[in-house]
Amino acid sequence: MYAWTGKILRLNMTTKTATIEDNKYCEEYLGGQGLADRIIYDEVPVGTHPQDDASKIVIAAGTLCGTGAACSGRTSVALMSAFTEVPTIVDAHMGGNMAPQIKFSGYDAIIVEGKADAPTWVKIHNDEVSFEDASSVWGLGTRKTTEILNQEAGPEYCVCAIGPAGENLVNDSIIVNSMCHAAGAGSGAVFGSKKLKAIVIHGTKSVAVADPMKTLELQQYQLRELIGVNNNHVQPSNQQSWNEFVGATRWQGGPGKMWGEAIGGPLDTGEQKPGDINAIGMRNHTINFFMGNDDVAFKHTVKTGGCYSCPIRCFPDLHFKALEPYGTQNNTATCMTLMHTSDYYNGHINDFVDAGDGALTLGSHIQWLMDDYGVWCGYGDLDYTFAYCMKNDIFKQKLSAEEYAEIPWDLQEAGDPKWANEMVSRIATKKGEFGRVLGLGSLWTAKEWGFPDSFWNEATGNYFNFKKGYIRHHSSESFGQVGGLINIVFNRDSMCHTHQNCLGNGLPYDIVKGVLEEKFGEGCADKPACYTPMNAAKAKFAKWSIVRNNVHDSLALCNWVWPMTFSPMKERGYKGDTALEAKLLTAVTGKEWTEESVDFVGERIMQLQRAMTALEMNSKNLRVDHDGVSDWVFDRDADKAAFSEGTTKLDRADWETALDLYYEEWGWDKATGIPTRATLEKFNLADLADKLEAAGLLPA
Amino acid sequence: MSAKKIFDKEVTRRQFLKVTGKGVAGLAASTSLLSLFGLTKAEAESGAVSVMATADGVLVANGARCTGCQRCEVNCTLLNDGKAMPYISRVKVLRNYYHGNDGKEGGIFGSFDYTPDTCHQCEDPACLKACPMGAISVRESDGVRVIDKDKCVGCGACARACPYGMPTIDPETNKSTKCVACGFCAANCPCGALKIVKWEDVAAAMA
Amino acid sequence: MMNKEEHVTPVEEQEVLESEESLSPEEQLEQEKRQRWARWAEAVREQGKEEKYLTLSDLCAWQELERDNAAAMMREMMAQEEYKDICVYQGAKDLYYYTYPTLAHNYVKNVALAQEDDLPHTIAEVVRYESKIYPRATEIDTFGKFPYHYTEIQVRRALDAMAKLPEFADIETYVSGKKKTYIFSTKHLSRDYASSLVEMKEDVRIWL
Repeated sequence: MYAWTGKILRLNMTTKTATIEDNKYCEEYLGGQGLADRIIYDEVPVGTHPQDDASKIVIAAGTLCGTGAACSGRTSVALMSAFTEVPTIVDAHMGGNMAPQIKFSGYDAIIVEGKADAPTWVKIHNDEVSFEDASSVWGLGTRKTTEILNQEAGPEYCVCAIGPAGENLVNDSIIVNSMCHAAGAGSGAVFGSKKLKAIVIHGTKSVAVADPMKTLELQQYQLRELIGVNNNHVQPSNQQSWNEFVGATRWQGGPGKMWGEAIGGPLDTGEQKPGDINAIGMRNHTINFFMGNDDVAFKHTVKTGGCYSCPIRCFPDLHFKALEPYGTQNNTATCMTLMHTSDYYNGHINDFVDAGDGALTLGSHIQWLMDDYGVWCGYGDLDYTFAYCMKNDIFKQKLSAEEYAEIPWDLQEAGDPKWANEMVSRIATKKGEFGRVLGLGSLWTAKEWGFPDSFWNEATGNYFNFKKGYIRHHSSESFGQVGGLINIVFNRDSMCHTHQNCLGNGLPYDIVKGVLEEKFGEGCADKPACYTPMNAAKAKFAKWSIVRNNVHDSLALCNWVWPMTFSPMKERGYKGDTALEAKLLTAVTGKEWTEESVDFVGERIMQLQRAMTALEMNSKNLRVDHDGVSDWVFDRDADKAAFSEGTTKLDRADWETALDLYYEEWGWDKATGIPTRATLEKFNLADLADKLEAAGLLPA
Repeated sequence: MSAKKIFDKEVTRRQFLKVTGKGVAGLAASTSLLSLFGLTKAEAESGAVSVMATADGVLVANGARCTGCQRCEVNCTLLNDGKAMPYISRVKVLRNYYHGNDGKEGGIFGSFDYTPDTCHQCEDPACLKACPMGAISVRESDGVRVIDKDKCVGCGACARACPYGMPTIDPETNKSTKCVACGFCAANCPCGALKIVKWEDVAAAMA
Repeated sequence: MMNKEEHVTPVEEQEVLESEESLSPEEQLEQEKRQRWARWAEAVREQGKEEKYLTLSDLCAWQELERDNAAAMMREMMAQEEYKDICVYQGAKDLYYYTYPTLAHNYVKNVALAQEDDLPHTIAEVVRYESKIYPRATEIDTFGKFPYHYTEIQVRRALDAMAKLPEFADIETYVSGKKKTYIFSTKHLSRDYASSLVEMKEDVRIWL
C-alpha cells in the first residue's frame, strides 16, 4: 500500500493494551481530520463528555504525511469539546514531529481510549508499544517531561505531553510536542482524564511512495514557482531586486534583515528570489511582522523553526538574556504572543533591554509558560475573557476578598514576568476561583460570573458566534460574508485559513480579485472594508475555503500555507496552482486524483461534522441553535451604512440571504441548515441520515 | 591558445583535506574559503559547521542555518531508496534536533544549537575496514566510499565501526545505506544549511 | 565599463577585417549596429546580475555618444525581439535601462527615484502608486527604508513644502490610532477609506 500505512494503533489505557487494526477509511476520508472525525463518530456515543470513561481522542497523520510533501508535518486531533454548551466534535491541530513519527511507526492514526488508574506514559517504537509508569513526571511541565522521557526512550523520540493543566482537567488545555507545537481544544484534559502523561514515539519504517521521482519533481515545482511564506503571503515586506510589490506581509526576510543572535554571529537573511530553493526558509518572520518596531524580533533571533518537512520556517527561535533569571530565555513567539502581553498585563509593559522590546520579551515568557503548563489560549479566547474581567472589575466582584487580596496584582502592575507565572500556574492548577473559572473557556466563565450579553455583542468584535464560547477567526473582516460564513460552521474558532491567505498577501487587490474570480465567479472577493451584497460566487468561495481546509487537515498539509492559490512569480501572473494537492496525492498513492475528487472528500468531512453537530446539540435547526451571530457584526461603525466604503459591517437582511445561498451550496436544508438525506447519501453518509431521522432531526 | 593549467579535482581535494585535516578549525584561517562557503570566522569556530569532501565539491553543513525541517533526510531516501524513510537517511538531523549534537545543552529544548551530521568520507574509512564482505570500496572516479548492495549482508559492522554513527542498516532490505555524495540534500535545503561548493571554486579559493 | 575592442585578439581582428572587406557599406553599418546592440545588451544584463541598471548618462560616457543619439539607438534596439528583456524607466533626470524580469520594474523605479533625490516628487510618485494599485495609504516609515533612506524629519519637511504646492494638492496625511503618520492621494482614496484601511492594518488582532 502506498502513502497510507493502512493500520491504526489503539491504546486502551484501562487494560494497558495496544492493538493494531486495519484502517478501513483510507480513500474515503484520506486521513488526518477526516479519519479522526469518522472514528469519533463511530466510537464515541453522542453526549459523551470529553473526560468521561467512554470518551476517546484520535491523533491522526495525513495521507501526505511522511512522504516529504512541503508543509506535511501537521497532526490532526479529534475529540469532544468541554468548553461548549454540550460536548461537540472539535478538531485540534499541531505541527512539530508527532504525525510523521506515527506514520514512520507504521500507523495512520492512534486512538486513545479508557482510563489508566495511575499516571502512565506510552512508548511506541514501530510495533513495540509499552505502558510505562509516569509517576515521576506527573506534575511536571512539558519541557522537563520531554527532557526526562527523551533520556529514558532516546534522543530521537518525539514526546507529546501534557502539563499540569491537562493533569488537572482544565478545559483550556493542550497537548504539546517538540517544545511549542500544541493542539488545543481541551485535548490536554482528555489525556489527563486518562492519566496519560505523554505519548513518546519514534518510527523507523518507511512510507511507500508510488512514484518517488514524480513526488520530488512536484515538490521542486512547488518550491521554485508556487510557495510564498506563512499565510501564503507571496510578496516581501521589503523591496528586493526581483519583487514588483511590497506589502505588510509575513515575508520579512531580506537584505540587511539579520538573525541577530545566530550561532557564530548575526546572519543576513539576504535576497530571497523565487526559484532559489535554498533561500525559502529565510523568508518568514511572523512575529517581526506583528512587532515591526525596528526589527526587535530579528535582533533576538537565533534561527527559525517550524514543522517537520516544511520549508517555511514560520516561527523564530529566540533568545532573551533578560529572561535568563526566569529560565525562559530560549523560546519562540508566534502570532498570539503579543496578545498575551497586552491582555494579561493590562497595558503594564516595560522595556527590558532595548526600547520597545517589552511586549516581545514578556510575550515569549508567557508563551513559554503556557506551553510548559499546557494551557490553551483558544486563539485569544482566554486573553479576551481575562481582559474583559480586568476592564469590568469582575475579579473584585466575583472573587472572595481573601482570594482577591492573595493574588499579587502588584506584579501585574509592575510588568513583572513573575505575574505570568502566577496567572498561568493558577489556571493550570485550578487554584482558587480565579484559576478554576478562567480555565473553563469563555462560555462557562461568562455563565459562572454572569457576564451580560454585551460581552459577546460589543463592538470590539471578538465573538462572531453569539454565546458559543469560541472566538472569531478571520470572520467578516476577511472578505465580508465569506469570512463570516466560514466562521459559523465549526464548534470552536474556525481553523480555516484558505480565504485569509488571499488577503494581505502583498499583491494588489486587482490581481487577487482576478485570480479568485476566475475560480468562483464575478464578485466573489470584495475589496477590504468595501463590501457588496451577498452573491452566489461568495457562497462558492466560502464553501471551497472550508472544503480545501478539510482536505489539508486530512492530507495533512498546513492550511496556513496551502493551498497554492497565489505565486510569488510575476512570470505566472502571480497565479498559483490549486491542483497541486491532487497531483501530489496521485504521485504518492499511484491512483488518479483530481481537484474535484479531493474536494469531494473535503466536503464529505464537513457533511459528517455538520450532521454530528446536529446530533450532539439535538438540534432540529442549526441555523438558529448553532449559527447565530453577535450584534456587533451588523452594528459596528454606527455612522456608516453596510456596504459603504470604510466599514466591515454586514447587513442583517443580507446575512439571511447569505445563509440561504451558503446552505444551498452545501446541500443543506435552507430553513434549518441541516444536511438533507440526499446530500448525506451523495457522500456515502446514509448512516448519518438514518441516525438524524431516528432522532427526529432530519429535514423533511 | 595559451597553455592553461588543467583543473584537477583530485589535487584540489587533497589540498583541501590538508587544510581541513584537523577539522573545520583549519578553515577559519582561510578567508577566501570562508567567503566561498558563505561562513563567518565565528561560525567556523563555533563548532556548528562541518565540511565534507564529496564528488562534486565540498559539502558544508552550517548549524547556524539549520532550522530542523528534516527535509534533507526524507529527500535523501526518496532519491536514493525510492521511499520515504528518514531512519536510513545518509544525512542525520533528527537525533540532534531536540537536545543538540551533544544531547545536553543544544537543540530546540536548549540553545537551538544543532547541526546535521553528514558522512565524513574518511581518508581512513572505518566502515570500509570493518566490512567483512568487502562490500565497501572507494569509487575510483571521485574517491567516494560506496556500498556494493550485492555484497552487503546487512551485518551492521559498518554502522558499529563508524565513529560518527552514519551508516544505517535498512531493516526492510537488510542492506547498509551510506552517503554516496549525491548532493541532493544540499540542493534542496530550504535554509542553505547544507551547501555543495564546486571543486573548481574551491581550487580558485585556495589558489 | 570596458570596451570590447580592447580584448580582441590578433586572430579575431584579422577575421573581422576579412569579413568587413566583403561587406557593402550598408551591410557594414548594419553589422556595426548589431554588434553595438549585442554589446549594450550584454552591459545591461551584466548590470542586472549585480541588481543594477545602466543609466543613459553612463551609457553616453562609456560610448562617447550624445544623449539623444544614444537614447534613439537604445529605442531601436529594444524594439528587437532578441532584446525584449531590456526595459527602460524614464526618470525626471535620466533614463534607466535594465533587464526584466531579473529586476522588477518597481525596483528600478524606486531605486531611480531615490537616486534622483527629489523627495517631494518621490513621495508623490510612491504614494499615488500605492493609493491606486493596492490600494493603501503609505506609511511614513517607507521613505526611511531601502531604497530611500530619508530621515523622518526630511520627509515631514518635504510634506510641509508639498502642502503649499498645487501640483501636490492630492497628497494628504492621516495619523492613526497608534500615532503613526500615513500618506495617501485623494485622487485614488477618500480620507474616510484611507483611514479605515490604516486602522484595519494596525489592528493586529485581525491578522493573527
